[in-house]
Amino acid sequence: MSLFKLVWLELLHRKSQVLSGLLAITLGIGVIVGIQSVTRVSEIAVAIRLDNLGANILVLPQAASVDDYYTADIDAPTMPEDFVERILTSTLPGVDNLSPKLTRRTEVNGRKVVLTGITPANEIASKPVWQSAGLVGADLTLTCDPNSEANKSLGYKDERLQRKAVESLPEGSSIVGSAAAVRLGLSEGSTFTVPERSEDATAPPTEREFQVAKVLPETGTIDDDRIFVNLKDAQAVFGIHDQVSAIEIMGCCNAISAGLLSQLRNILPDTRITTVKQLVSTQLDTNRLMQKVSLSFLVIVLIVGAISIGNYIWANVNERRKEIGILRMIGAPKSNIYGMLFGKAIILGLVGGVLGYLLGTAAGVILGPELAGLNVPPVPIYLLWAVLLSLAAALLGTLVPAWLAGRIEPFANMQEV
Amino acid sequence: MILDVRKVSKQYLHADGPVDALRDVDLQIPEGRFVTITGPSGSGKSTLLLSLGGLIRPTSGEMFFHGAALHAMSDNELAAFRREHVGFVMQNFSLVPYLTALQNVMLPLVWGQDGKEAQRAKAASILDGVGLGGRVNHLPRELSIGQQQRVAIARAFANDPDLILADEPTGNLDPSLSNDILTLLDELNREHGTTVVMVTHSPEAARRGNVRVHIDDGRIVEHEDSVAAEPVVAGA
Ligand SMILES: Nc1ncnc2c1ncn2[C@@H]1O[C@H](COP(=O)(O)OP(=O)(O)O)[C@@H](O)[C@H]1O
Ligand SMILES: [Mg+2]
Repeated sequence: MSLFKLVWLELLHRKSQVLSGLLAITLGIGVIVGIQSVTRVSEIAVAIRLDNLGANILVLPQAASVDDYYTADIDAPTMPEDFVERILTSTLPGVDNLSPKLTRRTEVNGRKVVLTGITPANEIASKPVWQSAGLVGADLTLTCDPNSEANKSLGYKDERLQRKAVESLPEGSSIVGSAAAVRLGLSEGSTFTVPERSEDATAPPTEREFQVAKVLPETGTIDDDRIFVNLKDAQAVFGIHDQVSAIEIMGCCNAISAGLLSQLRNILPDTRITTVKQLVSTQLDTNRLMQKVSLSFLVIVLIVGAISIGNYIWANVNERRKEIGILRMIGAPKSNIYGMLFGKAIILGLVGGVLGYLLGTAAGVILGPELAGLNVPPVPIYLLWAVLLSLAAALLGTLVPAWLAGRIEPFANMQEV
Repeated sequence: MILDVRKVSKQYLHADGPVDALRDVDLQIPEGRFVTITGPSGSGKSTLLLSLGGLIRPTSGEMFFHGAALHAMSDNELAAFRREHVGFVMQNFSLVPYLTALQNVMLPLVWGQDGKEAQRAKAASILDGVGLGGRVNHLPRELSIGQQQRVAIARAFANDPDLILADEPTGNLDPSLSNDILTLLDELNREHGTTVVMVTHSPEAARRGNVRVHIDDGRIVEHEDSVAAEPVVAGA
């Protein structure tokens, strides 16, 4: 007989109580592990998708917010188009392609739409779908070796290296995103007009006509809702000459990590330079939201788990007042009573953590493909976190009941018959 | 003197006002005696017994066990005193419900030096000694109340105590079972020389003792020691 054996026998004696005490913590940990597993996979998926989709460095005017870039605010600041030249003439290694853009809201057929001016030869066909849509362009000439280790570092084949640029987008023609096409009733070959802002405020309003050269297939990005025209057209239409609102740069992974960003900042001191990865959280609020949900869940689980285990231990202590009195009578010091209760909390914490991990992982593996369309592999390190969290909750919850148990008099068993 | 009680008083603080459970109690008990304490309900018998076992701290006075000052000990020292020197038998048997008879008897051995097998063997032989050799793996609820009290007595003896403190151990038993239990305590007292202090409300049970103490309203009103008296009687 040892104190541990005693704890163990007592646990077995009241199995159903133990199970109900474990329920909250197991479910809580399960939900956290599930959310974390899914979030992790979707973050990786998003990062890969973003990397595949677009240029990975963004140069914005100093005053711009990242929101401006995506929402194309009318008053968003601009910067001189010359900046493109500055970058090109600096011959920085790792800069593979530059794509200056000017983006503004405008109206087509009385409906609001976002118009982006691009420079065709330089516009990166960063979206693989552009290729499949038949926008054949020249192969990108790359300064990075596609087979280098650094470019495989994310664990997937760098599709950017096989991408092609949009070769031609003559003035007067346009490429329309799938959603915009549906909304505005545009199809290949049709035309539309955009109001043109004149330098002379007194002149009558004029319009410029564009023909739809191509409707893009759906990409699931903001591009779906945009119309792309030649940069020159956009500058004329908006009356913003020789200015751009953003320059997208394709850089090699290894060049970025080697300090391409700070070199660019030296060349263009009055700009904001950011990478797509830094934008991930801005663009995909859902992931951020998941993290917030996950964090608040963590706190809730800690509290609810602590309360539920504390409640179990407290009920258990009350039920065992006589028994604890007997142990104290026989000569168990208070420290033994604390030890037994915390030992029990540790067992519950361990079991709850492991069960919760298994539950959450199983939920991710089974439900991930069905609900989120993602393969959610088990994450072994989460077992450690699950157990630590569960242990923390269990020990926290046991503090008060243990303190109260220590106050039970050794002769408590004699007061009642 | 195994127990030496000097001017011990115990006052409980109750919501209705203080209760004087013991008033200036003086009591010396030589080793090996079978002491019975009688008295009306509420006279302080249990309070005295629990004080002797280090379960209740007197409000004032001194108590010595083989010269060691119980009244000056810390909680942990008192716990150590109980597990090394005292065995308790209570009216309500005080068995742990989910432990078998054997495991209940092994309980006081948790703090000892014995290994698992030695604990087992010792507990089994004690249970054998109280006539429960065939019931070692029974849970308390699978035993009759007489058998349960035997297990409690076996457990009280498991740590080879110097002192057995029994608070109305036969209070819940019918006369013939009471007799069995008293005989058992008597035998253990004789065979092992263990000092037994037993509180009882039954005059018949009290006659088993060779030291008889009667207590009323927290005071010892009678105290006779037939062992100490014997040589005097023999010499006369
Ligand atoms: N924990 C306690 N708090 C307050 N009063 C108590 C407590 N325990 C016992 N008493 C009182 O002390 C007196 C002696 O009690 P007790 O020693 O149990 O008597 P007995 O065992 O002789 O019946 C009684 O009046 C009882 O009500
Ligand atoms: Mg009593």
